[in-house]
Formats: sequence, structure tokens, C-alpha cells
Amino acid sequence: MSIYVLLMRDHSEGLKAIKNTGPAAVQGIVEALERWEAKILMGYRMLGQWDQCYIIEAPDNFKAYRATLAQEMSTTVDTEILPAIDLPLFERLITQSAQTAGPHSWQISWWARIARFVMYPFAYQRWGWKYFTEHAVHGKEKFKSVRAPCIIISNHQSHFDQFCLLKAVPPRIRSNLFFGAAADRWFLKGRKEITMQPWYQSLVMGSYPIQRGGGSRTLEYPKWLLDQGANLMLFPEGTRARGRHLSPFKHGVSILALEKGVPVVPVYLEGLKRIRPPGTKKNIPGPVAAHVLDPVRFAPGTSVPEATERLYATMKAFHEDIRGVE
Amino acid sequence: MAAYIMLSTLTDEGRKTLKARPERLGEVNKEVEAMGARVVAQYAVLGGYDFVNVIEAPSNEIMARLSMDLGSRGTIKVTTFPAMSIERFIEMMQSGSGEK
Repeated sequence: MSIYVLLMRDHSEGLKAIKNTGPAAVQGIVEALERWEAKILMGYRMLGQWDQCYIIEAPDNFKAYRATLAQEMSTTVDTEILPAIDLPLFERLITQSAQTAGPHSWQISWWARIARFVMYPFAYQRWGWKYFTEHAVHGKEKFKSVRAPCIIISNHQSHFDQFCLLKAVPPRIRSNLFFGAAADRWFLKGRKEITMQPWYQSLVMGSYPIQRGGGSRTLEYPKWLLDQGANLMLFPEGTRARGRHLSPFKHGVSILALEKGVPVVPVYLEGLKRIRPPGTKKNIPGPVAAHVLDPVRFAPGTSVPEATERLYATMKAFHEDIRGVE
Repeated sequence: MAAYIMLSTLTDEGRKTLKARPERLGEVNKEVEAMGARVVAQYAVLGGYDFVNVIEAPSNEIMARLSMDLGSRGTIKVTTFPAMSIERFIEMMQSGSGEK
């Protein structure tokens, strides 16, 4: 949800409506906003150039704009919509540059792997100990038939996904596993916190940057990692799912798997959205589970769309089974 | 405490200051509170203004002083509107206290 400030100036018709119908006129505006899924956080009647000011939450720019076209509003007020940003977030944004760093090819060196091994409890396990009241793993034995390098894919619900996933991955694969992470979030230069520094992401978290919408160039580094015998973990949905559905998969995983001839292991993660849904910073402890599904190996000649469709169908079938159980 | 909506726009000087010292945003809030007012909500916005602030202050005089003080620095231009919550406005309309 995004925040908007609505400034309104009453028409003469609007003033007449307030005079004649009293609070019903104001209530009409409130109802029009709610019809378009907007929630009023604050509302003020003002003296001066503007007559009303509402601070609202709405799903997107279009719905905020559409709400102002509702009859109750369009016939009674002129509206100016100002998309708003929380001040702490704004302060953080202006201190950041848009420049990103990485990928750091040194992350596959022996000393980086030792560093990750030593930091594993701090970087990964402690989150599970703190927030996973139950951490079940199903089908871990399916990794027995998988030789490195391989690609692990998963549904993406939360920033905690990889903490849940790693318990399902055997140490021989986990010790050389690298995560694709959004460059504009995890690899920005100029942040103050150590854990948000690009070098920390590369060294301790084993992540590498993915430029959103970066095209085929984005795949150069993961191809190089696979050539070095490293394993990859990717979220083919591209970003965290907002709803309960599984978003369509992007083609990157299929391109990598087909070009390098490596198997893909789908792992379905469950319960993470309840712990930290997108858009929140509050963590709520709860049970999670990782379900390892059958590894997928593509026959020569499989096209990229076919491969993507097969991966999506595998994950979606399990997703619907789980939702059926819920 | 009465409510006020303060719409502010950064001057060129203000943009430079904010880029160089973003922590000034938080410091201004402390100065507002030192003058006896309280920042209820504050947003950076896109559009005709740069910031929208909802401020509670004891009187118009305090708010006028605050607007003057903030504007005198040359970093922002402020426009301040006296406001009342919509709930209070509805109550006022229902009680008929606005009728003549």
C-alpha cells in the first residue's frame, strides 16, 4: 500500500451539499475512497486555499486517482493527489546513491567459503532460531540424486525465505551456494549498516546482484558461477508475491538450466508470508516448512518457454495442493 | 491543541542543505517541539509541494511564529492552514453549531 495526500477544494455544489445534507456529504467522500480500497489515515477540514486534507493509504496510483473520480467527489470538490513518502524512508533514500556494487567474483574463493561457514549461524541460523517456532523439512532425500552444479528455485514470500530454505539443502550443496538478490535493494553503495554493505552480501550472505530488467547481461555472472561448479538459488517469480497466488515465472532459470545442462530443484516454502509479509518490518514468529520437490532435468531441445512452463506447473501444482489443505 | 496543515516547498538552498545534511529533517522536528508545537505526521510528497506536515500547536500565534521562523531560514517556503479533524467537523455539522 502507498500513501497519498489528497488536498480538496469545495465547488459551490460541494458547499451547498455540506450546507443541505451536513455530514452525509463528507461521509460520501469517505465511502468513495473506501470503495477503491483506500483507507483514510487522517482527515482534516481546513481554512484557506484548500478546504479538506486527507492522508490515505491506497493500493496504487491508479486506484487513488480513480477514487477521486467517483461521483461523490468529482461533482463536489477539486482534488490534488500528492503521492507521499514516510519521512524516515525519505531521509534514508536521499542518503543513498543509486550506484550499485558487485558482483564480487572473489566470493567463490576458499577464504570466502570459510568465512561463510564461520558466519553461517550468525547470518542465517539465528533468524530461524528466533522466528521459526517450527521448522519442518520434507523431501530432503531428493537432493541425493542431484550433482553439483545445480539451480535451486523457490516461491518468494518474504526476506526470510532463504533462512528457511537452507535447512533443506545438504551441506555439500549449501557450502557452495549463491543467491541472486536485487541489486537496487541489497547492493547499493553508501549505506551505513555493515549488514547492508555490498561486500557483506557477497561474502557472508553468498549473494550476487541481479539488475532488475537487466536482460541477458544479468545472466553473465550466474553462468560464470555455474561454470565454476557453484550452485545457484533463484526466485523465478522475480520479486516477493503480494497476494496468495504464485506469480508467473521469469525465463532466467530456464535459460541457465538449458544452456549449462544443470538440474533444477524446486523447493516450496510455506508459512514465511505470515512471519514477515512484503511491506512490513515487523517479524511475527510462526511455523514454517520447506518441501523439496522432484528435481527437474530438461531433455535436449527443450525450448525456454517450455522449460519455464514446466517449472511453473510443478510449483503451482504443489502450491494448489497446499492451499487446498489450508 | 489546534491542528494545522503546513505545506512546504524547498528552495534551491533548501535542496542543497537537505542533500548535504539529511539529518536536518529530524532536527527541525525537535525545534518545532521546542516552540511548543507537535508534529503529528509528516510526509515527503510529489507534486506542487515537497512536504506535508500535520502539526498541533496551542494557538495561531505560536503557529505564526513557527511559520515565520522556519521560512526565515531561506530553505523552505511554508503555507500554513488552520485545520480541524474531519470527525470534529462532522460533529459540528451534526450539532448545527455552524448554522445561522
